[in-house]
Amino acid sequence: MSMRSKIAAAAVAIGIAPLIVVLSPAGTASAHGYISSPPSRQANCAQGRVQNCGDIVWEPQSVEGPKGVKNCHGNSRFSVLSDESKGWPAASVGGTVNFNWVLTARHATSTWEYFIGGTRIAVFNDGGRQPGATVSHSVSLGGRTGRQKVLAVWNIADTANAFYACVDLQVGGAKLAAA
Amino acid sequence: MNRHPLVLLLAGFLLLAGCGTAQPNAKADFNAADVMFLQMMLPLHDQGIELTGLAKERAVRPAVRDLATELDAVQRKESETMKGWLAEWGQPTAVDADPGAHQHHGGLHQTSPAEIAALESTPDAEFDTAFLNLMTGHLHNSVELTKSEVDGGGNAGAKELATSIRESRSKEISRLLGLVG
Repeated sequence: MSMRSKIAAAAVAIGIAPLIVVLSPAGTASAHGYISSPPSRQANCAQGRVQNCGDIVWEPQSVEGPKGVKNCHGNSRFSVLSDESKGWPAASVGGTVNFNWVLTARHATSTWEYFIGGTRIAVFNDGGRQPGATVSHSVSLGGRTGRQKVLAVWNIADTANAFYACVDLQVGGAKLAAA
Repeated sequence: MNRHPLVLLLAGFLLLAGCGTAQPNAKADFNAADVMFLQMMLPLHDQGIELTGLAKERAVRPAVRDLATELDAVQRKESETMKGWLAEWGQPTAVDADPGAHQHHGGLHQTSPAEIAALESTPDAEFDTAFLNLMTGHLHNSVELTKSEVDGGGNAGAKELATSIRESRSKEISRLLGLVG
């Protein structure tokens, strides 16, 4: 039984469970979005391709942090996503990639940005609009080959925050290449 | 960012109900969290059934159609169970039939009729990817909704259902991601 479960059990026992529900922020990480294909690191964790990822397996959509961060976990508590020793699988792709997003809340969006090694390779400006049912971006990798790590950033229009997803790619390579 | 729409909604409900401590009803053994969970999960399941219904007919890949068929059956069965409990407890099956009615609370993170219509009009060549991404997002929201029930529910059956939904939907999300990735 986890500490959280113990607290909840104790709360029920003394009749304050509803107060816990109202006050506990940890139980209500709210939903947002991530890249499902090619699989982002959090998608690889949730899918089970990469093991021992921690709590991110329950909420791959919650990698949220302040705008302007340049790491795979957006300075969130899911730092495992920036752990380069995890052996992240790289999806085999061509020179142009369609990135598909899973969204669980359609926040008004300023931009979607894609970076490789600190260089912004693509930006899509939604001008504050709410995303549609599906979000897919076609991004040219600018002639890069071999193993590449793409950092995708979903910048929310009406908050200071963004959502982060890293996607490991093997460009022009064969099949799935291990790290 | 609206981090806790459900919590705010629940808090509001408890205040409105004038029962800040929400004592379990001894007679039927349920509390406000149980009722809210069922009332919010039912419309989510209705939307999920619309998505799986479309995919059962339109999905191109057999593996996608099979998963949709399985999910469709599971959601229908759970919906019957949830409706049965609400009827037994003398509670309405919905807070409000309009999925957009709670937008002023920050939204309930549902799958909107517009999104379902968009899937319906998606060309065959793009259908599977669109369905897999929409369904995955939908199931993440279902999983999220179970948390308040697991933590604050009073009815053993409803809590067990919430735990079961959390675990089985997480497995199905893994399968969906395997098919889309």
